[in-house]
Amino acid sequence: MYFSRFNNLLRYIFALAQQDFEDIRFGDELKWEDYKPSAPFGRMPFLEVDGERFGQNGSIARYLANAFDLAGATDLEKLKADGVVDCIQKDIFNKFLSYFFEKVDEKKAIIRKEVIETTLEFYKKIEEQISGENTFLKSGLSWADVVIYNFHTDIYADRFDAIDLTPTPKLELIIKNVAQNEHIQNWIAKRPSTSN
Amino acid sequence: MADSKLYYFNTRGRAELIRLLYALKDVKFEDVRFDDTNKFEDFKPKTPFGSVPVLEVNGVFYAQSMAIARYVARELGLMGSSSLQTLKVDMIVDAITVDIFPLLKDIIWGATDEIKAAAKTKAGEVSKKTFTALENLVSGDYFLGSEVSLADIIIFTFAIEAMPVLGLAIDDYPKLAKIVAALQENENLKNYIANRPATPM
Repeated sequence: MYFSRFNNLLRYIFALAQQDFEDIRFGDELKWEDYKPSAPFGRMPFLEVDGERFGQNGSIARYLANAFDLAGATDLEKLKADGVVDCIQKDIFNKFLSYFFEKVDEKKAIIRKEVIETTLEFYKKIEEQISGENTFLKSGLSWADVVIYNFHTDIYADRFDAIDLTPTPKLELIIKNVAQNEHIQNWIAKRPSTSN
Repeated sequence: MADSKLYYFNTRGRAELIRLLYALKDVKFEDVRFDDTNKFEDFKPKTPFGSVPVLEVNGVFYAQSMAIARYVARELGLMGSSSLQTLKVDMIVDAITVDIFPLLKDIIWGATDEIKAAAKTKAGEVSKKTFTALENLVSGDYFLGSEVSLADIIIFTFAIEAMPVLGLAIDDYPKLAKIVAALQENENLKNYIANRPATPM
């Protein structure tokens, strides 16, 4: 499975909602090349519902979150969740991409510092937006919390210097709340281990 | 729907999509544009993530252009009538905003001519693949059939603003071209476009 850690988001959402799904992983046995022509936009992941296929990771995540009551209680809460998800997946993640795609070592070292600074800067802004005690939204657990957890634990961690969460205690509570969720823990314990 | 205030620069940029949604449905909103007396620098500390556009609803600020566009579209009945229709609209929006938009920046702001040219080639290739896929997703007059949605509006703005930059023609994709033509004839959009502030971008 290509870039497995980046694609944990959808599986966490399914796990959280205790919903069964067919987790089809491409690799040696199931060849991506055979499926690519019929995948929407020719990319993975894609979701198949009643025979229809839908692509785009972010949109699939939003659909599942709504289906499983993990999107927010009101339209304004959904807007708020969408906002923080975009902040992470676009504003912060774009810096990551510049780092990964940079080939020149000296430039890479500079961008590396910028990734850490950018992440810290946005963590502080996100902290001020948190409305719940250990959830991003006032109404409770949502996919926004999962996105935050997924970013911090799967995407950022191990690749960059650890971030001290003391200045952002509510954010730390959000991450712990998801990490300690029994459905998430069960999923992590039984999922296939992959190298990335 | 609640009274909303949109804050952005006096440009089309990342706010125009949102303005077009309100225009299409002829729904009023306060269109705040920064200028010499009302400065972005003064507003910035109040924003959730330091960026605009920002939508103010009931005294609360909400950020991220696409999150706002989705919210406004939903309020205006432009996100389809079922969760699968919404997913279809969402993925079309992502195909443009996630797959293609980021590539446009290097075409315009690239540090060297080589970077700009390489970005243009890459964006052209991705756009061709994406548009071929989008052409197959049109279900009737519009993506969802007879009902207009955010997906159609984003194709409309992309065809006008971005395709010229990419050197691509919407007419190569007849069903998409038909959507753009229909929206170009829409009275509300025509009026709005004719009367909006003229800005370079």
